[in-house]
Amino acid sequence: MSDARWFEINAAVTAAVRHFAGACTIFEKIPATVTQEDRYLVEMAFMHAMLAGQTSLEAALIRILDLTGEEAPTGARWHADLITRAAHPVGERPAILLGDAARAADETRRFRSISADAYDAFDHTQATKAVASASLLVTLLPSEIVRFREATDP
Amino acid sequence: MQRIVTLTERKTAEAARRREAVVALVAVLAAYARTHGGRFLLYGSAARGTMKYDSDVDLLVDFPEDTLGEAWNFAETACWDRNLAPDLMPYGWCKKTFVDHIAPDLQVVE
Repeated sequence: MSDARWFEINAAVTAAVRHFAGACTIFEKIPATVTQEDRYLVEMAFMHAMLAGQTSLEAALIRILDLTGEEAPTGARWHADLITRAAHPVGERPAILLGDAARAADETRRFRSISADAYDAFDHTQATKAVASASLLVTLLPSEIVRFREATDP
Repeated sequence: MQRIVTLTERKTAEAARRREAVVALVAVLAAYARTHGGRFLLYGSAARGTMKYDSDVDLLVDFPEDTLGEAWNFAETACWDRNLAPDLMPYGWCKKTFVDHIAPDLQVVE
């Protein structure tokens, strides 16, 4: 029987996909949003959706590490270490995210840092690469997790 | 009698450590920028040499789109390796008002 903790992992993956997809939709609305008040609303919604997507992705990865008995990264650089760790096999645990998915997760991780620290200083319309990465994760993340599950908990 | 290190002394020492660490950081970033076709822009207290015990390192990353992420990760890791807290942003993303605000401090690292 499959481990019951996949229930929470799948919920976190579903949440990540939902928030990243929402962020992509909101991002498209930014250029056409003219009034200051509406612009504020869509920019804040965009940043929050991206942050929620990354937080959900991180929650899924941390739960997977726990599932395999692996300690999660700690310290100031843990957000970056988590993505790097997920992108590599550790011991007998295969990589959780491969290639494009791992690179996309690192891009959205960098955007997370900008959202958290420089929210007032940047032009949101410049975030095209982060949005492309979020869109890629919407497509790739579920299949990456299924691949990992089939390999480790058939 | 046991000597007690006061909080003021600890903070003073940490501020000095951070200022020295930034000098070493700038040299490493400059070498990277020269060999990777871009530049970093230091601003804020790290650029002014006025870091306090809890100051972070404010850096803008100005590299071509296809190498921006790699340059970001390099700068981030270079900060962490020196026990400094990075605060990074791509230069091309900055609002003009923000660039104007930080312009007096800006130190180009290339």
